[in-house]
Amino acid sequence: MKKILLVEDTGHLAEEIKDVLRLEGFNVVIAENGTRGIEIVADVKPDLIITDLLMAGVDGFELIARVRAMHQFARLPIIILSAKSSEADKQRGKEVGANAFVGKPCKAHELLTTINNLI
Amino acid sequence: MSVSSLLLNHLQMQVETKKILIVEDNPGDLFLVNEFLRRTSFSMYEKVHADSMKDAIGELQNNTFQIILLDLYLPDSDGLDTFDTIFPLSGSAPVIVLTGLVDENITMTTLKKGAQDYIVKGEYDEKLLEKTIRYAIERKQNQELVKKSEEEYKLLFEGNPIPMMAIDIETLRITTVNDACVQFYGYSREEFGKLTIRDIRPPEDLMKLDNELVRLREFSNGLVKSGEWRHTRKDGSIVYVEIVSHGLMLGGVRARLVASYDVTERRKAEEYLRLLESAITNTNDSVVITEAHPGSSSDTPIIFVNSAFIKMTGYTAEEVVGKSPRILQGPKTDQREINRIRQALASWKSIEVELVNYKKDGTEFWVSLTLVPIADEAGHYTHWVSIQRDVTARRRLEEFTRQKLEKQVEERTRELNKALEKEKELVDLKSKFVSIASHEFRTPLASISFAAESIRNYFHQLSSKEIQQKLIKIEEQVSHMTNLLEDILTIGKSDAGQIKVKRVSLDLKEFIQSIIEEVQMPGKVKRTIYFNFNRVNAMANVDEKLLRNVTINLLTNALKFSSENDPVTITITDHKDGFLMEVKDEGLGIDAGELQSVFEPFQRGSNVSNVQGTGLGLSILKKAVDLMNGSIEVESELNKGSLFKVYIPVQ
Repeated sequence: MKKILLVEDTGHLAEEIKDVLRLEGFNVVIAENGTRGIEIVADVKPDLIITDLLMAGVDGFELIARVRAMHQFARLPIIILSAKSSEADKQRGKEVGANAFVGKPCKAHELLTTINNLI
Repeated sequence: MSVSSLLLNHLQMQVETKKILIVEDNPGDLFLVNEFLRRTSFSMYEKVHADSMKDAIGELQNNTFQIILLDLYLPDSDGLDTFDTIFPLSGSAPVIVLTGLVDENITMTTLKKGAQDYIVKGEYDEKLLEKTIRYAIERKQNQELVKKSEEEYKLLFEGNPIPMMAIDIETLRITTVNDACVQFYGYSREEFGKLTIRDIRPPEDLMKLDNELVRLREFSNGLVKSGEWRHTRKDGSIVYVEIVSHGLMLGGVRARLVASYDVTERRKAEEYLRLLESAITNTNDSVVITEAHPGSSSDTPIIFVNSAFIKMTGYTAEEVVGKSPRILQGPKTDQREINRIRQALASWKSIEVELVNYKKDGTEFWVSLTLVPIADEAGHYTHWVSIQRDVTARRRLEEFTRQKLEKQVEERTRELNKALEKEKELVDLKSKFVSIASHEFRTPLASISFAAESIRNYFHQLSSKEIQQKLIKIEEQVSHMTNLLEDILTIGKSDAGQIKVKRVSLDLKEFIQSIIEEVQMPGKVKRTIYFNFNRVNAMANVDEKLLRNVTINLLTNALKFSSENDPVTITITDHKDGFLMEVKDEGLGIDAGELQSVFEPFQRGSNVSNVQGTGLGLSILKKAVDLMNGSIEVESELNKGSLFKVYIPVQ
């Protein structure tokens, strides 16, 4: 079973996403902010990370950069799921090492397609 | 004797033989006369004889005689008639009557009428005849001289172009006038004869005349200049005359010959000049007259300054006359203006300039200066007239106004820049707001989207309880978005100035009490809210809706961010022109780093992500306070609680 680390500070949304992914056969671990994500990523050893961008403390860009800096996660698929979805944000996401960008709000199957393309 | 008559006499002596006319009808008497004449010095005179009146007249008409010897008794004329006929024809020749003793009366009468002498027939010899004729010629010559002289003098008086009259100094009657006088005054000689000199003067000048007459009587003989007088002409017009008179005896009475020089025109011109001078002297504008030297524009010495100039500059007339007007110039005098004046001077053109001049004490002042060249009758420029007005006050006002204007423009520019900056900030803020607001909608929408999709796609895999929970979540997020929408609309309205403050008088204590009751039970537990009302007056003039918004927001926040057991305190006290509302809780508090941006939209504390909220509550509250001209402050410590202090003026 593939493991997904979901970094999302809005609790109700994290729960909904987790429910859908769970029903699609993924094992989902939620980190409620960026700081927490960094803390647990090495232990969780996810097959994919979905992260929000706007978070207090460590934001999504920083999280991606720091995860990419970890040797074992150099090729880990990372999806940005954010309401902040300007071209500049997408560009910056690419630069720090994100593999895909999905803007909020999105359909569940849209996110699933993106995940399946990367795993 | 005049030169011409002397010459004439001389010529007659040279050219013509002198002739004696003897009018005598008696041959014996004629013989005697001829005999005696022969022995006198008049023997070389040609003797012409006439023995009748008719002959005598004929001779007199054809010849000029030096002597006439006349017998009064002729065949065709008798006695005095003879003399009266002959005498007018005698010219310059003396008439000597040849008479008998019996005719003494008639002889005397002829002497009165102009005969020079007489000889009584039978009682004279050659010596008497010689003496008589010689004296007669001499006397006649003297008479002729006197007559001529009188005629000349009369001509001098009559023909004099200056109006002259003779007056009796005692009666003041005008005894004689000349033609010029008749023409000048308009009275005929007859009319003058009835006038005294009092009659040709305006009544108001008579006293002056009386004083003058006293003086004239003292110096009765000499030449007296009486100065200028006003005389009245026949037509009533007044003329100005200068009177010169000389004393004389006329027909045995003391008189004066008076000459009246007409000075009316001169007087008018003088009046006019005096008027002009008075205008120049008394005007408030400074007037300077300088000499003009053709060809040399550099030096124009001052010849006149009026009293306004003296007042304006502090110089006396003596200090500036003869000097150049340049003494008024100084370091601040604009040289360009001076050059303009120089050019005008060189080309004899009028000019107007404004420049800085200096008073004697060094004070500067602004003058508006007009310079005009003055020409004489022949058109040659002789002088410059400069009229100067002190325009310092106007200049100062202009300068003041200009500076004020500049300052105003500067201020306005600064204000405008500030406004523009603020506007830009506002635009930035708005676009930021829109971007954040849209973001705030995206998260709940994503949640709703996922929840709805899972219900649809995984309906059979979900328990009914799970479906129920998802539906509740959808409702919650919709309701959250509705609140968000309403808050955003409120902020939009407030920013657009659509919220008007409507103050009403209300019982503040009762008002807050009712709000407390309204918010006291947000969940299942009734919360503790302490209410301290320390105001003297319960009534306050406030906008009910805005104050309600503020109060509800503060109280619900206090309740929301503290635990169920922690009390909330609201205190109202008098403050300045209004009241202070303090809301204190003992809850989560606000991080010191986030305290500054607590009233900005979508700022939510990092420690409150689990608590529901749009992030707009405090920014709406702040706007409501601003609308009421109030102020808001916050003190807070993390995990100890917050204190919000709101000041609301009541009017």
